[in-house]
Amino acid sequence: MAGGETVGIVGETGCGKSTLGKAILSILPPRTRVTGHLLFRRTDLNTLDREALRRLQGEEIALIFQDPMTRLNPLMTIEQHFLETIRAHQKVSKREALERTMAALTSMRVPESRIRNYPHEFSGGMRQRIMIALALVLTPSLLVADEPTTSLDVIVEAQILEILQDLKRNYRMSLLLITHNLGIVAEVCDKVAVLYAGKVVEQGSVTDIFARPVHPYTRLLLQSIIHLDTKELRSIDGQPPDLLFPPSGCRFHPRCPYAKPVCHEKVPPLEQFRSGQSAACLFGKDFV
Amino acid sequence: MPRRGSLVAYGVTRLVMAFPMLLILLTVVFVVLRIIPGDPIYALYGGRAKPSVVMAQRHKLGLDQPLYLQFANYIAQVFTGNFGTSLGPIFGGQNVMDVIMQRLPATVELAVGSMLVATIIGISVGILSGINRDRIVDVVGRLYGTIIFVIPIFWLGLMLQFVFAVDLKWFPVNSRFDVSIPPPATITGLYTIDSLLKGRLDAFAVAVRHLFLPCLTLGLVLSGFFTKTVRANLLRTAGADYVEAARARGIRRRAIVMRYAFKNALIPVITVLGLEFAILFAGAVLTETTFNWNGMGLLLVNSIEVQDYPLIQGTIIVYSFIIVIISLMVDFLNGLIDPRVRY
Repeated sequence: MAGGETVGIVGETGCGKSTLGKAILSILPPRTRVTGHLLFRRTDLNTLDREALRRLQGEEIALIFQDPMTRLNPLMTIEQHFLETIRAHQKVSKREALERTMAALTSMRVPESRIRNYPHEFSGGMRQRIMIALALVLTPSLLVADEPTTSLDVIVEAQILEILQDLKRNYRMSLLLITHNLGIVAEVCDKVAVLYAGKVVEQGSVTDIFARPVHPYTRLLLQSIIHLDTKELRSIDGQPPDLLFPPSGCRFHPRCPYAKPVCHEKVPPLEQFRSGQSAACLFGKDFV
Repeated sequence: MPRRGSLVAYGVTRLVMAFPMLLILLTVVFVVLRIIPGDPIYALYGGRAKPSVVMAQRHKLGLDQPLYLQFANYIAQVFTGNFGTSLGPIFGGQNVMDVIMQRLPATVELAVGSMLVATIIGISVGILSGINRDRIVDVVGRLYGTIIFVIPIFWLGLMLQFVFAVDLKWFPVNSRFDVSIPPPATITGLYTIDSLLKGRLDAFAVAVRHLFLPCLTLGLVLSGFFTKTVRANLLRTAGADYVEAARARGIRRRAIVMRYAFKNALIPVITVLGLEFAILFAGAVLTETTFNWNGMGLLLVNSIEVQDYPLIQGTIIVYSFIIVIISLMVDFLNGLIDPRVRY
């Protein structure tokens, strides 16, 4: 990801989108085995010690969760959440921390007067705006937003997306948007990666992928979008596989209408098919 | 008028709501004492008194009046603090309230001491267990919680007396104070507090030495349930969404454990603590009997044995008041920690 860029991560429920988000923040449950590399500014996050990681969390990389209702400590006021977060990273006076809190909340249109309220005194939309303000108060360079609007109604959703767009422009912040809503991706993102059963099956620019998808899964996913003139709902047959026992070869082969015997055995590598667009399909060139 | 959801408004509401609760409790005590078999006058004279004497005694105690008048008298007695005079052979003729007030400090000292032991051991073992889930520390902690919970109080008391008092002679076997030195002058009746108020450290040490074994017995038995409650709740809150969110914001681990996991885990623990405190007063009856501790528990047992009705009634009423006060304190503490219950 480049600075100021927005990348979308899409996929069905249970394909590992949220896990990816938590992995980037290094907040997977304790004793989780992590393989591979997670590079942030050329440093592998997996090699950092706990304190170095803690300094990055929240200040450089921030995360917005999908369920704002349960993400705030019910025993702390909004003010306490902000002061604690700011002071966990920077040595600033209480006064300055408060000023920043006010600024962050105002930008999210949360009234300053409610700073001493507790989480249970806010609505869902309000809490999500507080969560976003909390994630942005230290102006991180990378924001991971894990389905930030899923639990909200469409009006609040539109407001929040607009706010995220503004922030990107104002702070040159990179945004990793995790969603299953392809409409949002088309509207907000520069690039997109399609996830299936824990693996990236296709990635590229939004225009390329929406106009000329290569991987059969991406094609089927795009076909299942509902338009105004949709007469019949189209879905992808079958269920996403159990990730504890993933299928052999290409993980999509049991549901793929084009699957051939070789797909059962050979794991397809992520190959580039056009400039900036790659897919993991053995027969990708047939679909180009 | 204090703001809705403020601590003061919440406290006042709880206080007002304690009155109906107290009234119900007092009614239950009244009814139960009158439906259980036995007759105080019969018990007093062993059935050998002349009918005229029995009648006179009944009249004196108001037992010949209709029940509703007896109840009105009883409520009046409770709120004026005058529970009548004892009928029993030990305290016969003495004011019931005076007798109880002499014994109450001993029980309060025992209860508070035991609660201290139970909370310190219970909460620390619970936290150690919780943060070392499924490691050896946790296995030992869980085993401790189960075993200690099922041990009978009197058996543990006798064993501790046997080892630490009879064998090792580290602590006295029973009683509240040494006979060889004078106890501190009575201010509150609590030997520990009185000796500190008078600046007598020697007397304080003696009082604590006497308190140690009974408090350890009762405290250990109660700590088992605590350990389990703290552990279970800590595991629940440590996996909570807000803890994960706090980690993502780079909050220090120590702060997360204390401000997020532990503080949230404390809410149900405080409720359990209140219930345990009530159980503790019941447990004190056994502990006081085992250690010959001259408190309310022993007083109640003795007055039941001789069917000293005014004294039984008075003791139970004082117990009821204590329970109401404890539950008020629990409500207040919960309100202090958790803003959501203040409404």
